[in-house]
Amino acid sequence: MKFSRNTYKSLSDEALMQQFAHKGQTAAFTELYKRYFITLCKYLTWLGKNPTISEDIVQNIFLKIHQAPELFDPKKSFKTWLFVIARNQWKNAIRNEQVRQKHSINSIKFTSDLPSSSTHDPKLENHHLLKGAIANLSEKHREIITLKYSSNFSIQEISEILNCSKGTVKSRLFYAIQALKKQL
Amino acid sequence: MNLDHIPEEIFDWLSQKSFEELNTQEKNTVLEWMSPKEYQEMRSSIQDFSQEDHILEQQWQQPSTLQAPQNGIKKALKIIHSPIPAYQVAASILIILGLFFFLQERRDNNRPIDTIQVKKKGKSIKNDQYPDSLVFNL
Repeated sequence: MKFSRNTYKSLSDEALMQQFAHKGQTAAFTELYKRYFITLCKYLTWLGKNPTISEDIVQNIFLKIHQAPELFDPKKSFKTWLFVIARNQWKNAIRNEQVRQKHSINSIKFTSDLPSSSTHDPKLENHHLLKGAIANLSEKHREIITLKYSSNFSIQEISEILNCSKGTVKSRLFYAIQALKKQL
Repeated sequence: MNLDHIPEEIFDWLSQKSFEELNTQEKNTVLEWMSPKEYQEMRSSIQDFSQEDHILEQQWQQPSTLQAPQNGIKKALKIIHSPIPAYQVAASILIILGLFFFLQERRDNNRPIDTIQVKKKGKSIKNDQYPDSLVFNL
């Protein structure tokens, strides 16, 4: 069976992984990479990392998957599996390199580019205020808001990623939105 | 209020619909958990987050191929800066010196000969070997 680029676009993540793992279809892997590269980079950046470091971690994750696609269990969701890996990689990066303090969401991107006193662009000021408000959220709250409203996961999927009950996810998400509201 | 039992659809509606856009049944569900004002405020916060998320997204262009991570360079630098055991250093020096002398010797052996030096051996002089005309008998 011949696959065109459009065929790959219509396949589910799990089917693409099957194509890559069992038939060596690199185009299937490329499609997965295109689907999740930006979403993962955003997730890790909101978690508190520098965008460049986030990009590095995401590249590493895809390289590992490319080298060992058989590690994926086709009975499970690829997207959830990918985010669990990303979360673990990010935790390892913090533990090993102790970059959290150096590259914290507060210190790098959200304060270094604050507008100077001479800048009076209301749009830009609003943008910086919003960034600051999100940065001031606790890590748990920032993460759960990102998973729901940036990565578009369901409550069930978030509970699998965070390894907690659906009730906990709903309650944490509710309080996270309340906290963001207060910050704004 | 036990938030563990809040219907999860509310979290989707918050990002998709204003309170006015909800149908009667949805409005009733929401009202069990929050006021319309509270709903609108929460929705506004989520919209603000989505706006920032969209701006963040623009930092990355859609990737076409998987690129080697910049970490590769860092790893290479780590290897360069990692400590090397003394015996490995000693062995390396010995190998380099050995190679140096071996190659030098080979080069000397292969060098073309342009001058042949011959050592003259002095003959032992004995009286009876001199020509007669040079011998003076005193």
